[in-house]
Amino acid sequence: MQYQMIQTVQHDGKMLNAGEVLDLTERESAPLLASHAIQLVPQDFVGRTFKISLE
Amino acid sequence: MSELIKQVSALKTAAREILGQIEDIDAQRTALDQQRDTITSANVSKADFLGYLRAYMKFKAKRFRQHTLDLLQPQRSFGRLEAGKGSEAGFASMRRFFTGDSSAMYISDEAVFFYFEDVIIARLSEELEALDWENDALPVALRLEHLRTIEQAKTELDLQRAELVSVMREAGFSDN
Repeated sequence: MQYQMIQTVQHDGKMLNAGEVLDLTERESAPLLASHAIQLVPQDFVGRTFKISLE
Repeated sequence: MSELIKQVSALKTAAREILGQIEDIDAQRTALDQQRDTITSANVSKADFLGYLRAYMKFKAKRFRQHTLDLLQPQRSFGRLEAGKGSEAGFASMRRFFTGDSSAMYISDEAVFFYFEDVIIARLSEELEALDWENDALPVALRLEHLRTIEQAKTELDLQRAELVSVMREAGFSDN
């Protein structure tokens, strides 16, 4: 899943900058989500619903 | 009219088919993430663990080695050595082959790693026997190879997904 850094943090010896987009597994994202350091980047077309535009 | 209904129905079916493929890609990606978590969270073997410690010590010792050589390089003249002989002050600057670049008189970790890497590894290796180790743990080299394969597969899936999303968007579909 893709996550965006909300704040700059030092994690596992690496500096992760605010705004950076990371691909993290569930286990990797858990501590960063808990500390509100990241937010999930919504993906297109998750689930089976869709809308259609006639323009 | 019935032809129109058929066409709309076919369009919906096609869209559902693409969404099904996207769903399948997402499931494959989740499975790959789980594999990655399994690989990264499992303990390594004792040998690999010691390998990481040794690599860390070598990393720290390398800087110390260069610093020490730079320090000793200009100190080798006969005159300087004779003048300093038997005098504590004469060799004051050379004490840094224990302290690294710190002016405080303590033995730095870098110096300890540089001089005693093998001793530390051997001693730790004995003491670490007290811990439980998985003898059949996947070697680090293989783990890294698996992780590279997983990342390649994920990149490929991401491209496929982006392509399907693009097809949906171009056909006028959106998810919000």
